[in-house]
Amino acid sequence: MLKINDLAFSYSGNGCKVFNDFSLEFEKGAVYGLLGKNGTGKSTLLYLITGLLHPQQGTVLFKDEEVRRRLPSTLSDMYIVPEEFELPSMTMKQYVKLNAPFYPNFSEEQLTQNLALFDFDENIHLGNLSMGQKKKAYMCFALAANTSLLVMDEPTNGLDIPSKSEFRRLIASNMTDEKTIIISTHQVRDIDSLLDHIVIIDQSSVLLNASNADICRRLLFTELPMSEPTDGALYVQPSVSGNSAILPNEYDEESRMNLELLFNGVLAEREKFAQVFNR
Amino acid sequence: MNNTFSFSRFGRVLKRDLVENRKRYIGVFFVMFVAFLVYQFYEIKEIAELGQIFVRKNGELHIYEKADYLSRFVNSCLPFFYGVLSLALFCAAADMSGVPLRSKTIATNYLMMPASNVEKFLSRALINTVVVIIMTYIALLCADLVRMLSLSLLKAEMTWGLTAPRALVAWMEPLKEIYIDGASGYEVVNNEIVYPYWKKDLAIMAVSFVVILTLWAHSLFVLGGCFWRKKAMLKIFFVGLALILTFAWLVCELEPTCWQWFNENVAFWFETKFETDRDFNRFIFSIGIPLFLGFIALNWWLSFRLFSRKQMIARAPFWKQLLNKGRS
Repeated sequence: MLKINDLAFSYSGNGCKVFNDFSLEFEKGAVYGLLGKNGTGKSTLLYLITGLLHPQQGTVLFKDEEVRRRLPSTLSDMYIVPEEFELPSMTMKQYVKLNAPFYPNFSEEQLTQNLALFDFDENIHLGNLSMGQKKKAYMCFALAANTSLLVMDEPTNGLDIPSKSEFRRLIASNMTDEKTIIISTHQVRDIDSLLDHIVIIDQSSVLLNASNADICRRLLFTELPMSEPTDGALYVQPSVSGNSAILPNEYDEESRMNLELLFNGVLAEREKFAQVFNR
Repeated sequence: MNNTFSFSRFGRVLKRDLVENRKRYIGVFFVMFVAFLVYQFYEIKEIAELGQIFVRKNGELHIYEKADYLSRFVNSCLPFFYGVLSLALFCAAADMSGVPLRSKTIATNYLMMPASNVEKFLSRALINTVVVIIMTYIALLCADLVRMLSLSLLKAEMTWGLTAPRALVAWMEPLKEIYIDGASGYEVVNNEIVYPYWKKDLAIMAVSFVVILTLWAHSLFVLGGCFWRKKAMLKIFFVGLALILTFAWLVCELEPTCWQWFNENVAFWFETKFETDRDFNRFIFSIGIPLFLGFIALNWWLSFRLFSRKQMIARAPFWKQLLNKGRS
């Protein structure tokens, strides 16, 4: 659905390349978590994916069409919720009237349901909302647009604690097999239960690109008491009850993925994790 | 899906553009309105301070009363000044081409709007030409109305009727020989009024060049608006000023040699030729107009190239933006 081939990109005035020879693919019907440390190019990658920035080399193809061309057929099938955005000063109803006709699969019914989840209705005035409220309203519209690709940059930033769980419900209720959602964040705890696929990037390289099922099949996430040895562990992190550890899943045991631990582990022990996933 | 141009989608882009940027357009309208109002009251103040006006005509001194002078001023001068001010405002307002791209957040919204670059650019072009012309004239009309009503209420001596409609009529009739009549450009031969052909040619050429130069200046502001995201009008103005000053400086430096030679030979030859050879005039006219039309087309084409290659943030210098292989 979305193919990034040999991408090279750097900002002007900054000789350092953000991406060099970078390739990645996204399939439909999954919620992708795009993770990485600050400054690794997560947001830049999202802007390149949506054609808001043009790469110096390489291509980004969405449904076999280059996104930098910004064709109406491409733009009407993708939506981005950036970390910072501006909404015009008007009611949601007016906003929908102006913008919904651009999206052929837009559903008013879905929008009403989405807004209700956050105790909003279509009469809210976008100019009078706080930043967090604006973000919720914007996400409601983005999901109701029913585009094949939805890209979200730090969607939980600025949301209060109840809103974060409502956000997870919102994504889950709007997800279909025809959609792909890419969520870029460094707040992994907010979204870990949502994700089907994890992509961890670090300065041009993809450190991990695997589905949740694949991760749980290859890795065992466990809590070890202080007294227990951790020799065979891929990564160990001290926790309240002892050590949180990631072990190779040699006996096909079931465990719940600890995304934060995985993220820290992949960044700290690149070689070890690469060996496990390249096996 | 049609990826090039669809009228319904163009209509939606235009509607969204007008609604979302309405505050800015109202702001521009208000600036125009104030400019016209300030100008009118300044002129009234100037006239009010005048006493009797002496004009020497055929060697005799004529006295014009203030009312006569005012009548002459309102009927002939004011439409001209309104025209100049309107053209200036029309050009300056063209810098709004880049309004939807002025910041990263606004540009994100605009660039992601599912419409082709042609539709988005045409929408901006329509706003920068037709909408701005209408805005300029309504601003003039409103300023005229406010001036008339306020002076009538104050029962001031300097009240006169609405000038804006008169100005519109005056602007619409430039090619009728009003310029020749008004400028005593005729000669009496055998008791018949004869218009020297070059006077008429001059009138037609002058009007045509005013129109074409305005459109060219307008296209420069459109180009500047597409290139600079912020404070485009000021930047275009200062770049233009810098170019004129550089040219003037070069001319002064060259004066002892080239410029003097040019004045004595080329300019004189041109002037003589212009007054004696009608075909030469027509030749100049037929070269000059297409040349400027070409410049205008070039500016619009460059504007479109810049506009269609815009990214959410400015990343490349001017020439790189133009050469960028982004598609339209």
